[in-house]
Amino acid sequence: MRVYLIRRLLLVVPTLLGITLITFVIIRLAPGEPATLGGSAAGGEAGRQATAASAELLRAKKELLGLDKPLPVQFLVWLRRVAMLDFGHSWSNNQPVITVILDHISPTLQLNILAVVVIYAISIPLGVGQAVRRGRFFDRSTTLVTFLLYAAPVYWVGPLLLIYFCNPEHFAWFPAGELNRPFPENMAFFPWLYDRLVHLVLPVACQSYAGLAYLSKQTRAGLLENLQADYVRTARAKGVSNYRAIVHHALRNSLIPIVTIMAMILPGLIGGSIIIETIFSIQGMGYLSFNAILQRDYPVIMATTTLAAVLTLVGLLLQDILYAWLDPRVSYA
Amino acid sequence: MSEWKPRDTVMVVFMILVVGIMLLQMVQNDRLYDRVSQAIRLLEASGGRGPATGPSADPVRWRVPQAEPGGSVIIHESARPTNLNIITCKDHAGAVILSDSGLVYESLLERDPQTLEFKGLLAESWSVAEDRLSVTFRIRPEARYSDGVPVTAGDFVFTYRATMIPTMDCQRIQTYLLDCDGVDALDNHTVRFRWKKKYFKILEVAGSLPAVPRHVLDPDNLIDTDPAKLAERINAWDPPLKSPPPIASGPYLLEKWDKPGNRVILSRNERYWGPMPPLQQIIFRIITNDTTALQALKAGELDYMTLTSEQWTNLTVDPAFLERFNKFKYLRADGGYSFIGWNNRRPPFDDRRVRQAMSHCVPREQIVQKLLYNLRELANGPFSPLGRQANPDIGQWPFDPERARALLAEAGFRDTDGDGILDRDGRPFEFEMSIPAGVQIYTQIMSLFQDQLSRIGVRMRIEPYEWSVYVDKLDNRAFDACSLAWIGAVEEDPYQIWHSSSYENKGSNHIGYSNPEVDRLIVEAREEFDEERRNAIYHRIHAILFEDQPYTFMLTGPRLEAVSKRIQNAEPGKLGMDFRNWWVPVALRRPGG
Repeated sequence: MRVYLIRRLLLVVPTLLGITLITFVIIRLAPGEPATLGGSAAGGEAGRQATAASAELLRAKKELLGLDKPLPVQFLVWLRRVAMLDFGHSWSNNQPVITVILDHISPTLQLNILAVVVIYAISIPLGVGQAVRRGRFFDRSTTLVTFLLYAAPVYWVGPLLLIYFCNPEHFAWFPAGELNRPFPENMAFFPWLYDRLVHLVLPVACQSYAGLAYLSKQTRAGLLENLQADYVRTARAKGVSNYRAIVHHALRNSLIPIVTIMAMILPGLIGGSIIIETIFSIQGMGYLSFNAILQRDYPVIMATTTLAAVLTLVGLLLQDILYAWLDPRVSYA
Repeated sequence: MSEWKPRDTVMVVFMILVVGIMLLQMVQNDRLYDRVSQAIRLLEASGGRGPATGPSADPVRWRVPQAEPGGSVIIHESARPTNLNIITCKDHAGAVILSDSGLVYESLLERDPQTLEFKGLLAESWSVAEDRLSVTFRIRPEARYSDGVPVTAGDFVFTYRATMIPTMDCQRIQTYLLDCDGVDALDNHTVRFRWKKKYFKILEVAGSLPAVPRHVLDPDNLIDTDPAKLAERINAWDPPLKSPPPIASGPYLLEKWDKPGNRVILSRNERYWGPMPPLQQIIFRIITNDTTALQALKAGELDYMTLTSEQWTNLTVDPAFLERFNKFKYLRADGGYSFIGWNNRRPPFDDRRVRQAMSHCVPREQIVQKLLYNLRELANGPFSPLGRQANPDIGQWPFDPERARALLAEAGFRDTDGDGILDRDGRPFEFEMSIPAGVQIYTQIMSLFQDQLSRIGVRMRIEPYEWSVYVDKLDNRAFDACSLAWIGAVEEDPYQIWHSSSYENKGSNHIGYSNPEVDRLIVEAREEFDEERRNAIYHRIHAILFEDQPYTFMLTGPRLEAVSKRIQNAEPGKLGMDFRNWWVPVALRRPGG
């Protein structure tokens, strides 16, 4: 096991290098110049301010950003700084990239963690119910509903939720977007927490509904397999109640793949959804990465992709370790 | 693993609870700390002193005498500013919050919202020199920053010198000052701007430079000793989150930027030197999605926003809405216009007749009626219809496919092989229309145009490009035709877009328009300080551009806005709303603000 772990950890280094190199090359090969070089505001708005930087100003600016050096040199410079955990400064607002990421990571984390909790809390019982009532009305109808949800695009569902549930003309149950009412700093803690949670309801619903289908199907399949296994039949034969046979014997064993899926969620936790964030006006990681790409803010793009790569690799590693730990049949000796 | 017992579960739950409560407590502590430090920052920004009250203080002069002072409003802003640093700020959102409406930073001059004439803001008087190469301002002696320090000529010298440091991240200001020869402080309250050549906009450029407090940004005189270090420091300045505090001379202080909450909060500068505006707080709320913003407005979480044509026509017409909101539709003097640009240096658009034919095929009336709910007006040139630069004798370029057919035949296009597509020298008339991706209205407009062109035998491909790629294509002149909008100015200087020299160095003359007479007139107008005579030259330029059709001038639009009826005195001028005049009666205020 230890040898395996060390080998896996060593493999992480070249993989990471490869990922960052490919990302670096791709963003530099993509056409378009960093927004900070032009006089223009970034994307979307199809207007252009009548300002044009002179050639000399441009050249000075490129030199300042290190864009005048050859690409390999630029990559090595970047690598050397990252090795010392310095991701540089964002070109769009001159703040350290780490600060910029910390500014945006908290709403994304809150949203994603709640969404994961919601997905698990709904789909595991749902999957159990489906497995127990296999082939009956409950199984089929909930399967249909979860798959319909899976197929519904979030850019359609999001505005619908907004229009029907945040509107005095229909139901003004939830606030329209953002994470707090005005002046959150003047609220006491528990009202503030309540306010935050109310604001999170719709975004979390949007973030989670599509995940129900996959996880409930996983639970259902795993449980079905175990329900037919010999040891469950034995348990039933020795007089264990049906509930105990399912929950204590079969379910525990079928949850192993579900737990390991959790490890894969790790990189997803910091990756925001640009669509949900735009609809609900939340400035999270999705907003940050998307805008960084539009503005060709290379330091921020590189930092967010590196972060995602690291978390993916850690997630995969964690998954393998969890497997070995939870399932005595698996070993990497 | 040993047997799991119920008391283990209790233990685990208990520990999670303990950890959770500790975390919550930490969060609460942070929030308290934030509030305290915010109060400290505000105190710093006002020079460590509270409002000027008490028997010794002068009575407050109010800007709107009948208003009930206090209260707050929430204003929608559709884009997030990259920063709120007056020197390095690059975007429209930042400019609106900081300086465009005279809220936080003030300049020497501002424009009267009705007559559009200049009037003094920080300046008491001004005069342009005999030789037209310099302008001298006399700064009001009573003008003070929020810490009580007077605004002096030295601050403008500092602003100029600081923005001219090559490593300073402020191309926006640098570009305007490229022809500036220097700024001198003649005495404490007299400042002179010198220009390298005659330029009629000298008053506007010099008069709109913001007053930046030198004593706060450069207390140790780095501008003389180590400019690069000063640039580094100012580039990294992120007010109001990082010191130095955002001390400024305007009627509002940058109190807080709640980044996760998408709000910028301005609080009244209680020590403002001029007439005090009524509102206690102005909150800018950033919502990038139109639908979300309208829902927030309807839910009472916004007081003021700009509507889209569709929202204006379909979603804000019910009596319940009209009872709570006023809607305004008006033209702004700096409105700008949209256009189709033809690459004037690429065949077949190097031929004026072809460009004229193209303009005859754009169904602009149909576009306005079918796609824009009749809420746009047709443009016929680069000047605002509200200003005096536009030539009143010029009408609209008519929609006339028959005339287009004749013009193209004149230019040598015929359908020789009978495939329904015109050709010349064996090559079919086919071109690519580049548009910015993600803006639906562009695709819709171009589809209508495409349909018209196919009827006269011209094939147009519509190609959307991501914005930065699009800008790259424009800068490298790698396009047949492009579609875009210019943001306007009260008084345009056509040099940047129409002079042939702006084609070089990735200038704004993307289409490579070059007409020696227009070049000559543009330069002549730049040196003409008499407005009457200058506008005569612009009328001439307007007429030539209309005849040459280097662009097909498309549309210019009124602003569509909704304002809560809580707000009094919300009347748009020719430059939009002036928040400094708004007020909210006590009875209509939100609880807590």
